[in-house]
Amino acid sequence: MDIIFDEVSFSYGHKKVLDQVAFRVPHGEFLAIIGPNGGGKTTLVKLALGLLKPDSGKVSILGDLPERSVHRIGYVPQDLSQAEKFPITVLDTVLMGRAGRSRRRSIQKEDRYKALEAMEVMGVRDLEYSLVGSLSMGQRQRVMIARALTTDPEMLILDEPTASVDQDTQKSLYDNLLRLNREKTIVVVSHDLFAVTSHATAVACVNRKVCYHSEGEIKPEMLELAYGACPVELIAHGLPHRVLGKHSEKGETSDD
Amino acid sequence: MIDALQYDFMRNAIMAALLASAICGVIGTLVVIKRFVILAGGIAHAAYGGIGMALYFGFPPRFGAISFSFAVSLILARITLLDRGRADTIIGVIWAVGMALGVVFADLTPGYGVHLMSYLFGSILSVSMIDLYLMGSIALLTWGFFYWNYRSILVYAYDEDFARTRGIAVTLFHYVIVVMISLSVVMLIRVVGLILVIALLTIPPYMAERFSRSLMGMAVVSFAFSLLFCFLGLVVSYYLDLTSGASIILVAGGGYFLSRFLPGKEVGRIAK
Repeated sequence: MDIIFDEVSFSYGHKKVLDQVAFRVPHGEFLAIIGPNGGGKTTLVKLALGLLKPDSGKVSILGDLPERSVHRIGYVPQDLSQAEKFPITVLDTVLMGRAGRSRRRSIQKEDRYKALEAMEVMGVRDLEYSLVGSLSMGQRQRVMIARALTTDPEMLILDEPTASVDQDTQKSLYDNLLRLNREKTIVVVSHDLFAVTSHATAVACVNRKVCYHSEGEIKPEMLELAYGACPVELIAHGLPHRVLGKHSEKGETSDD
Repeated sequence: MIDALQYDFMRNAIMAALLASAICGVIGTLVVIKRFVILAGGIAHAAYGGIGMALYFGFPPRFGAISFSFAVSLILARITLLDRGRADTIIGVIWAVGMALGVVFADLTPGYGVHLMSYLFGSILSVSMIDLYLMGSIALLTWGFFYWNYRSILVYAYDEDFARTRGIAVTLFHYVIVVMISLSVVMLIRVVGLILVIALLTIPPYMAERFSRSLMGMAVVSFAFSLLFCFLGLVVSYYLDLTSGASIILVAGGGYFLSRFLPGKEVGRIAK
C-alpha cells in the first residue's frame, strides 16, 4: 500500500477539518481527490507530505512516516500565481527540485541532466531560458510537474493542477500524467470532478469524512457526501444556484 | 565633486553609501520577494523603543536598538511563520508601541532633547569609522549567507511548502533572515535613517525585479541601483545644500518613476 490513512483526524484550532478518515491506496493507482472547497482536500495532501501532523490516527506513505518518505514524493503545489513576478528561468525553477538533496552548494552535472530530462518528459525542454512569469498557465503547470519529477519520485501529488488552464491544455496534461502513471502512483486533487475522474482509477471524495472508491467512477453516495446531495452544485462548479426543492432522481435536475 | 572628496566626512559618506547599498541589495531583495516590507518597517520603528530605553537606563543607544529589535524580530519571525493572515496587524501594533515606548522613555530621560528627525533621515555625512566597520561586517555577513545558501534560499523564497518537502530547513531560514533584516535595519538607521532604510530596501529591489532573470541578479542589480541613487543623492545634497537622506530618497523615487518607461523583461507577454 502506497498511502494508508488510519482513523486520521485533524483540526485547525477548533474547526475539525478531517474526522476519522480511513482509506488505503495501492501502488500504481491514479487517485482523484475531489470534494468541495474547504472540505479538507489540501489538508489531506499536507498530512500525506508530513507538512501537517494528525491530531489522532496514523498516516503512512510508501511504507513509512510521511516526513521520512517525503523525499520519494514529487509534489506539485497549488497554482503559484503570486510568484508571477519572481525573476527566475524555467531551468532554474526545475532545478529547485534538486535543491536540498545533497549538501552541494553548486549545481552538479547530474542535477542539470535530471532537470533537462524532466523538462523533456513534460515537453518544456525548449523553454529552458524563458522566464516562468512569461509562460502560459499550462506551460507553467508543466514546469512545476517537471520540477517534481527531477528526483525520480515513486509518487506524484498534484494540488489543483488544472485550476486555470483551458480544456485542451487540461487534456494534454492528463495524457502526460497517464503516461507517468505507468510507473508512479499519481494523486490529483481537483474540485473539477468530471475532468479528473475520466482518468482516475480510484476516487476519494473528501468533505470532513473521506469516501473512497477503488473504481474511477462517481457514486451517488460520494455526491451526497461531497455536495450535500445536490448534483447541481457539481455541474455548476459551485456557482450560486437556486435549489428547486428535493430532486427526485439524480442526473435529472435542471440548472436554473 | 572632486574637491568634496578631500573631506573625511565626504569619503566616509561615500563608503557608507557603498556598504548600505551592498546590505540593501541582498536584504532588500529578500524583503521584496518575501513581502516583508511591513515587517522591516515594524522592526525599524520598534527599534526606536530600544533607543529610548537605552537613553533612559544610560547605555549606548546602538546597543539598546540592537538588543530590542533582536527580541522584536524573534517575536515577529514566529508570528509571520504561524499566522500569515493577521501578521500585518500584529506588526502594526508592535510598530506603534515600540515607537511610543521610545518617545516616552526619551521624555523621562532628564536633559535629553530627542531629535526625532535625525533618526528618520539619519545623517550619512556624520558617519564614524565604527559605523563603517559595523556596516562592513553586516555587508559581508549578508552576502556570505546569501551566496553560500543560494540554492536553498531560492526554494525557500519561491515556495515554502515545496522547500519543506525537499528537506530544506524553512523555519531556520525564516528566523535567520528575519533576524538579519533586523540587524541590517538597526545598523543602517543611525547612518541613513529610518525612512531611507525602508526606501533602500524597497525601491531598488522593486526596480531590479523588472530587469532580472534570477534572484542573484536581482540582488546585484538592486545593489547597483541603490549605489547610483545614494551617490547622485549625495551630489545633489552637496551642491544644493539639502538634507542628504531626503535627497537620496527623492533621487531614488525619480529613478523609479523613470524606470517605468524602460522596457523590462518579457513578463506578461505570453510565449507560444
